[in-house]
Amino acid sequence: MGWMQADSGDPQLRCLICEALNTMDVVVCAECSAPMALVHDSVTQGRAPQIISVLGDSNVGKTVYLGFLLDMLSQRANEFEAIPKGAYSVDLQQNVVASMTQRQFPAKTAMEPDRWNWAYYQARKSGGRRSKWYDLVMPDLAGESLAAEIANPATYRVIRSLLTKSAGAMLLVDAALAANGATRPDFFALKMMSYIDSLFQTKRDAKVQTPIAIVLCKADHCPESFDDTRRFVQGSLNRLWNLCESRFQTVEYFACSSVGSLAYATGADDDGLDFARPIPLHTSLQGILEPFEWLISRM
Amino acid sequence: MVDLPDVSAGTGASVLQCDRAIFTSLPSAIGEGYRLVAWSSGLRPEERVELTRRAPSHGSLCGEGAASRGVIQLCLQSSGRMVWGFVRVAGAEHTRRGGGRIWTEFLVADASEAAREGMHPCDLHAALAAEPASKPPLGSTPLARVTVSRRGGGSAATRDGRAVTVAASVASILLDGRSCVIATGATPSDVLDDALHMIPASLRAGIRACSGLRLSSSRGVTATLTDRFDQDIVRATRGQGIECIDLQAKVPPPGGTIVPWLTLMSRWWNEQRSAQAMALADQLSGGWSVQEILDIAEMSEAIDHGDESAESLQIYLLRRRAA
Repeated sequence: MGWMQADSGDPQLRCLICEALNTMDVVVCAECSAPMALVHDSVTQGRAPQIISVLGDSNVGKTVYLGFLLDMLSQRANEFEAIPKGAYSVDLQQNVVASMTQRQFPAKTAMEPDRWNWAYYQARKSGGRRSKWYDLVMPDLAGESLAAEIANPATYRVIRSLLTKSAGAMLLVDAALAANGATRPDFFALKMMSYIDSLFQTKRDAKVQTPIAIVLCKADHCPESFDDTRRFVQGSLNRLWNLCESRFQTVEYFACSSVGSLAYATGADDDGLDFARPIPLHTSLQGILEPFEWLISRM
Repeated sequence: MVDLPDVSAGTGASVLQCDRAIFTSLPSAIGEGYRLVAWSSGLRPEERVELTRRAPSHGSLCGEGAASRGVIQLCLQSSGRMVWGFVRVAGAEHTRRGGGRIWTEFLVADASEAAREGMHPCDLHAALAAEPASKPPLGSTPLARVTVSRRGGGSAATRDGRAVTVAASVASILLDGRSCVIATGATPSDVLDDALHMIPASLRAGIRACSGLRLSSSRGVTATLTDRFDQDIVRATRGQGIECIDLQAKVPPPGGTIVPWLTLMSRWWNEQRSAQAMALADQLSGGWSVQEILDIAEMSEAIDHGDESAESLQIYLLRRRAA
C-alpha cells in the first residue's frame, strides 16, 4: 500500500485515484480533485479501500440512487452496518434526502470533478465478528463528464483512473425511456461497457472479470422490468445485453425505483416555452440495496 | 505636424478572426446535458475536448440572475490558441433540476494574432452580440467564424475611487501571473473588465483569468475573480499554492515593474479621463515592451505636468508603429 504512505523525508501523499503526489495539507488532489481525506482515512484504516463506480447517462438518477443507497446503509437496512468515514461522505445522502423531502430532485451534478461528491464508507453485513468489513469509495460522477470521456477518452483522466481502479461498478440505465422504445439508454450503456472493455484490454477470448451490476432505474414506469429483469434487458436493451454476454464475465441485472409517485408542474418559462417539472410526491424505495449486495459478494 | 485622426484610425483597423463554439445543456436525439452543442468547422477535435473540460457547467456562475455573467480568457494547452468564453444564464435548465441553464459562447483565435491585437473581451463580446442568431437546431450546421474588430474607447464600469484602486490592484495581480482567487464583491466580471482596460493591449493576451465563476481547478486559468470566499474555496486552495485575496477586506497596492503605468491609468480614471486612458491602452497593441510602456507612462505624466507637448506622445506612437 505504498500509495498511502507518506515518504520519509518527503511529506507527500499519493492520491488514491490518480496517484499524483500531494503535500500533506491539501484537501483535494491537485491533479484530479479527489478528496485527499480518502487517503488520510485509508492510512488510518491501514488497508486499501475498494472503489465502486456508479455510472450512467445524464439525468438517469445516479445522485438519487447513490444518495438513497448510502442512506439505507447508514440506517442498517437488510442487516448492513455502514460507517461514513468523514463528514464529506454524508453530504451526498443529506442533499438527496433533504431535496426529496422538499419534493424536489437534487440539483444536477456539475461536470467539474472538484464539485463531485465522494463517499467513503466502511460497510459489512451484520453477522458477528467474523463478517468482513469493506472500505468502499463511491463517487457521484456527472453523466455529462462520463459521456465526454467515453466519446473522447482522456477528456477526464480522473474517470479513467477511477474505472481502472474500480473493484466493481454499477451501470444505471433509464428503464422508463428504454421501455418507451427510446434507443438512447441502450446506446449509452453500450458505449459505457465498450469503454470499460477497452480499459481492461483483455485478449479476445478472455472476458472482463470486474463485477458490473446493470441497474434499471425508474423501473416503476415499467413494472415488467421488476418481474423479469433479464428478459426486459434482452428485449429493450438488446445491444447492451449482447455485449455483456460476449465480453463480461460477472454481470447481473437489477431493477430499482426510488420515487413512489410523480406529479408534473407545468408552466411557461421566461422565453414563453412550455415546461413540465417533475415533482417527486413521495419516495418508495425498491431494489436499491440488491445491486450493492450482489456487488460486494463478488468483489 | 501630426495628423492625429490618422493615429487613432490606425488602431480601429485591427481585426481578429475567431472560431466559435457554444457549450450548454440541451436535449437532443443522441444525448442531453452539458456539452459542446455547436462549433465552427475550424475548431480542432483536441480543442473541442479541452473546451469541454474547461467550460463551466451547472451552478458554476456566481449568481443565477439574468444579469449574472462570467468571462474566461485562457490559452488552450492542446493547440496553443487563445480562448475567450462568455458565460450567462439562458433560462431554466430543461430537466428543471435546480438552477438556470449555463450558456457559454467561446471564441478561439490564433495565439500570435491574439497577442498582436491585444483585444479586450468587450470587443469580442460585442462581435458575438452582432452575430445573427443561430438557427435551431443548434449543431445542425457549423457556426460561422466571427470577425472581431476593435471598437476602441468603451466605458469603464468603475466610477468611484475605491473601485479604480481595486481595478489597478487586480491588473497588477493579473500581470504578475501568480495563482490566486480574488474575492471582489458583487460584480467580479466588471472588475476584470476594468482591470483589462487598464492593461496595455500588448500585455492582455498573456492573462489567464476568469471572472464571475466559482473556483475550479479544471478551468485552466491562473486567476479566478469570484464574488466571495466560501468553504469550498478554502477547501480547494489549501496547500495548493493558490493565494486568496479578499478585496473586500484589503486592497493590495499595485506592484511590479508596471506600477508607473497603472498609477497613470488610476489617476486618469479618477480624473474622469477613463475614455482617454482606455484609448491609450488600446493603442499599445502589437508587441510593445514593458519598457516602452513605461516610457509612454512617463511621457504622459510629463504632458500632464506641462513639461512635454501633447503632440510628442502622438509622434512617439506614430514612429513606433511605423518602425
